[in-house]
Amino acid sequence: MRTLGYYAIALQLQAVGASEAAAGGGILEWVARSSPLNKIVLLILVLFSVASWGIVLHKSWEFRRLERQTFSFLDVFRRSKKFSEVQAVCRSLTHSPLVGVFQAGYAELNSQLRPVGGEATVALPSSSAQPNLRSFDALDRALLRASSVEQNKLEHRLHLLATTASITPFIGLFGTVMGIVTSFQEISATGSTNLAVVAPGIGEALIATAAGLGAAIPAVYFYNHLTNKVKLYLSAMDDFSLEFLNIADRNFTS
Amino acid sequence: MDSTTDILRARVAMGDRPGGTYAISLAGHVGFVLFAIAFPSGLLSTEGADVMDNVMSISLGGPVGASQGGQTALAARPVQEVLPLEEADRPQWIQPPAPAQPEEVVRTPDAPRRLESERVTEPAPEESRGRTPTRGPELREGTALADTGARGLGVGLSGGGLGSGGYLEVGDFCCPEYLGIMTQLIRQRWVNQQEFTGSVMMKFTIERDGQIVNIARETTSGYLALDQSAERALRLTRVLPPLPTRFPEDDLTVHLNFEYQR
Repeated sequence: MRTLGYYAIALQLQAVGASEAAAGGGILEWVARSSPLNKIVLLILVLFSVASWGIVLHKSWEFRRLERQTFSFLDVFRRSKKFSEVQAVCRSLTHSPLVGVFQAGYAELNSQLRPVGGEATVALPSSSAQPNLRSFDALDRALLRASSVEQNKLEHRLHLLATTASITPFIGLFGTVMGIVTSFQEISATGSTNLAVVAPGIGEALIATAAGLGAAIPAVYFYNHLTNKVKLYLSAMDDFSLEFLNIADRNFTS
Repeated sequence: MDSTTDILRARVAMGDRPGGTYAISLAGHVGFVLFAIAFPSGLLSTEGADVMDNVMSISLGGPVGASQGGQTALAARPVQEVLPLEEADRPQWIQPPAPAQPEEVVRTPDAPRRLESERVTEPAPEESRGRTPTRGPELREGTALADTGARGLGVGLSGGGLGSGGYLEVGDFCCPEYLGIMTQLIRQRWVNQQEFTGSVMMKFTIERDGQIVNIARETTSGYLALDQSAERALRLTRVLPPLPTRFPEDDLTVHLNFEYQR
């Protein structure tokens, strides 16, 4: 019985040695040995991953800059006495979505208050000779348009993250399934079901699934993270629009 | 053209150009691949895992134990056997919690001591006494007599445990409950089912500490086997409980009749 047991151990050692020899030293060699279809799948996944990480980096930096400029803009807006002063500052804070909303509202105010053939200086709060706003609704619509434009800018390219998160696991799974099909074809061709023969093919196939998940997982996380930030900016723009309308209502309507 | 529209168009046109970040991302991926090339087995390495450990856990058989090289038997007995059904289904008594330890009290020598006689003990009210639970109307023994074939044990001694097979002669003994225990113990060692019928009268003495001495046969049944069976029952019993304290004498002589049935 003991002799039989040691014989089994010897067989196991032989099999492990064979599989390690088949592994050859790394996944990259498996990738190099894999079928052309598997290589195409891996290339697509790498492209998706590069694009999604590029978007993540870009949006993260953009939102950081945008947050800084928004903070500065709100500070200036609440300390200024005239919209023209705020407008002067806007040229250095162009990335903030609130600047876009403010510029649209300010342009609408100017167009309504400007006397024919001249330019009016819109002043905050009280002025001895108060100009009158012709259409308060038009100002509201202008602010809404600007909010919509800024929302589109904020959400620009985020859809690629969602796409990456959705389809890369399926692409990887497709590569795996095709790789396993190839492995079974090799089994039928060689007539051997030894693990040392089957394992490399299945390992090569599984690399595609791993790559798909590797692309999808960060994409899901950062999509949720950035979408949440967009929602916060939308809320800030709504708040700013109402604040702007209140100021206009107080100062330019009779 | 509306000036607001111009501004919004300018904002849209301003756009964002993430070309630089795409390049950084590509460089990061290339760096990851280079890292994988430089350390081909760095991320998914299984080197260092003890291969022999995995191998030794698989065996074709052999007894269990370190002396057998860690082999496990293919057809070995299960490590944990299932309890028999009646053992498993037997209800387990729930042990009541242990009583709390009494608190330690430090004696104060100056405190006035209360005499035992000063303590007033009031009887508990009648309502506080527990009632024995009943299961319906109480059954009382009737006074009708029925002939069961049983024979008495000498002077008014009832039962005794020998059933129809024993006859006891004890004179005016004070403690009938002791005789019940005695006959029960002797009967446990007496085989009353024999090939022949008959009776054997045995005489023996119970000492104060319960030892049976002076065993003698008073009457014989005519069969040696029956006589020896009665004597063997007494000798096997050997020791009985000590005599009751109410019994004034140092020993008690008993005449016991063994009646055999087929």
